[in-house]
Amino acid sequence: MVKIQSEKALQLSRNAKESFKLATALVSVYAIAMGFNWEKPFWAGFAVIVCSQANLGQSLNRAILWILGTLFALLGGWFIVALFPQDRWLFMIALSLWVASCVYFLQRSRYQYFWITCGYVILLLWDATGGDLSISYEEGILRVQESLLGIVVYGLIAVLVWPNCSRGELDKVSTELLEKQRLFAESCFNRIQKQEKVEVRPDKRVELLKTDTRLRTAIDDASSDSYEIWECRKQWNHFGYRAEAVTQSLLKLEESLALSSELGVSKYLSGVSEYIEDVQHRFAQVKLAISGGELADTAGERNVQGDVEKIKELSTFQTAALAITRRSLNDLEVETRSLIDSANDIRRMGRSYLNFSDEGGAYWLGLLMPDPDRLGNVVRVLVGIWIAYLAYLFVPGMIGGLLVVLLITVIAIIASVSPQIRLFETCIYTILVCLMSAPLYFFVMPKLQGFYSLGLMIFVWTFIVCYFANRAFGAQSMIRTLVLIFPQIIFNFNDYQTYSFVVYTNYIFVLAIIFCILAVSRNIPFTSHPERNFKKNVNRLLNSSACLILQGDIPEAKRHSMLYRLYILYHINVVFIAYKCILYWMDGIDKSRIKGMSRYQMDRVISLLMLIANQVKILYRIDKSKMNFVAPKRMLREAFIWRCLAGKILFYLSGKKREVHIDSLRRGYRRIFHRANVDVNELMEMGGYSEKSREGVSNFLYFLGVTHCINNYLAELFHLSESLDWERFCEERFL
Amino acid sequence: MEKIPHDVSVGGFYLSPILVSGLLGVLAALLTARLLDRFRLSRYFANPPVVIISLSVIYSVFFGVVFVGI
Repeated sequence: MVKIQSEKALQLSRNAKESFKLATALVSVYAIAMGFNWEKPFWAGFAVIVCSQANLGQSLNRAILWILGTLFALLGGWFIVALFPQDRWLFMIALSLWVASCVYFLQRSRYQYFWITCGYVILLLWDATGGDLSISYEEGILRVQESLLGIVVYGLIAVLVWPNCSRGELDKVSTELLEKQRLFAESCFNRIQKQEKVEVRPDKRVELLKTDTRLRTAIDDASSDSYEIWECRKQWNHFGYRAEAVTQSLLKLEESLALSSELGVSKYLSGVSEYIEDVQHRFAQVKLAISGGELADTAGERNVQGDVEKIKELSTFQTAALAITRRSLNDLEVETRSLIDSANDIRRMGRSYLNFSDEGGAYWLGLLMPDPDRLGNVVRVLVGIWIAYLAYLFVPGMIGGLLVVLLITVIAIIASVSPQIRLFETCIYTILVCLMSAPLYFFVMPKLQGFYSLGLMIFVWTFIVCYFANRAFGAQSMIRTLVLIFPQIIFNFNDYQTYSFVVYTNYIFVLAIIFCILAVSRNIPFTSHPERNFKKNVNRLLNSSACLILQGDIPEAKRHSMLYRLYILYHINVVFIAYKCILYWMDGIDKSRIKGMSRYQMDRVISLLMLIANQVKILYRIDKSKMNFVAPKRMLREAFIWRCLAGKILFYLSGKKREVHIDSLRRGYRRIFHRANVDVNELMEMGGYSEKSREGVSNFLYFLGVTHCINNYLAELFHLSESLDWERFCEERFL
Repeated sequence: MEKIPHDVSVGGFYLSPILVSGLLGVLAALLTARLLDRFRLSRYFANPPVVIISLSVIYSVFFGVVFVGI
């Protein structure tokens, strides 16, 4: 027992191992670069620091993207130089356009590091040649050579010393997600069987969505560091998409059951018990296929049908609630069937993913669509670069010179991926670590005899800084990268080492200047205050939801115009990414200092917004032509009035007053519930005429169910927003 | 009451006057910012980070001229 304990005590933590690997890699690259007498060995060190990530897959991914980005930036740089060799301003404008497009794409890209490297390497080469409007071939090649050295050395160390492969993480996350989905479904099914009321559980929903995101990351990482996963990466990606679709179906099911569970769903829908048993069996089978390596039993098609005679006894709202539950159950059945196929594909290298050609569509839509947040970040980066460049040109003897332009570009580009970071905190920590490096620079380095002692110093310094930065900020934080990089710039290890107090203080001043310029640029074109951006995204989501709800009654001729399609795509994109954007800004809010609302209220607002966004997505997808085929004019008119009122309320909540008097809106808001209460009995009769009319009736009932859900969520959000002080919440603060 | 520029000795370490006044200026600006936050006055400023920088410069010059000597 004592022996086991002492063995455990001797084991190094993962953080210590990663710090050791980084320190060893850094010492090795400096030894090689200085041994070959290469200029600027810092570039190799820079590559090592940036490539060192939480696991092997992430490190290798970054390494590949780094080298591709460098090559692409080199080509771009030479092209711009060739176009504008003699004109400083045109050259700078072309450079700005290049950086702007990189910043724009990086914010929604899967290959963020590629775009980051593309963005700043071009300036790095320009800086290396003294900003003389030429990006020399030699400098470019040297940069690639040293980056490659850093990547190869770190890659070898990461693979050979305590490799932290992502394969285990992938197995763990996929099993975890399947188990969470199974439990989520089980809890919904239990309520159906016991006829208990189902309540939407925001914490469980967020947990499911987060695990989904983790699975996507784990698939990407494991594809890079595991040959087995690389071989069947398409199957794994397909599995990721299908698992996401199952999660969405489960969320929809819970939302629909919140309306219908008390009715006794199994009384009105036939074959629910068999359905439940079958779906639970499917979850168990998929889990077995993923964790146990066996093939899952192929599932047959199953369709839950309503008992028309019994349903006629129900009110309109109840019928609608039942319609939406039925659709959700059938959707879940389809998605679990695809999930089984995707899990089996992994085992037998199947190709069922070929039937889902639109899986990456949302990604490309998001990448290319205009997004105000992304455009804002582009402006911030450009303002930073131009302030620094104009200062370099017109302020005589400016400290740092072109280095300021370069470092501003690097930090601003990284900050554009994580705008919620606290600039002041980052600045303080970076300056603090630079000050801590002073004793080494002034007192230790001049007394070192050779590379062995210098190597020891680099190792100890890097290990300590990396260990504490990982613990305090995490392996992927921007502060960790900066506190590791800046002292390296100050030390500037090379074969002809010089020590100068002026150079050292200049670097500290450069750092201060950079953060001052960033402080100015971060508020242009609009503030990067997390609370304000949170509210802005909430407004944007509500506004887009309103537009999508209202567009249901747009004339057919108008729908074919290109502008109209772009307009709709923009709003669809906003509704799709709303969850990520809002959570993203919420991360930047200091939870202990929220004003104008409580933490609970903020969580409730987010959960309601997500529910509204989900229902709006469903509403948009309902086939209106089938609905219009059966519904009489009176019902369509009710639907039209409902759309108008819901749109008005959403516009009102999104802060657009639009000349709406609040009392008239409140009256309209009460009316909104009665509007949806149309008589559906005659509609149910029509369902028996033909297949087309059956689909039409089903669609109309589904539409009513969705409107019912939206009404409930809107009612709650309306009441909640009246008790919130958004103005106080969005107040600017200094610290 | 203008002071003659001179290095400031802290425990035998000689620090340049601009460094000392800069440090004091930043600390005073942070204190002011904290007070402005406390009394909800920060909402009247369009760009708070620029205000902190400006306050730091004003205080640094003030301390430099009046107390330290730059």
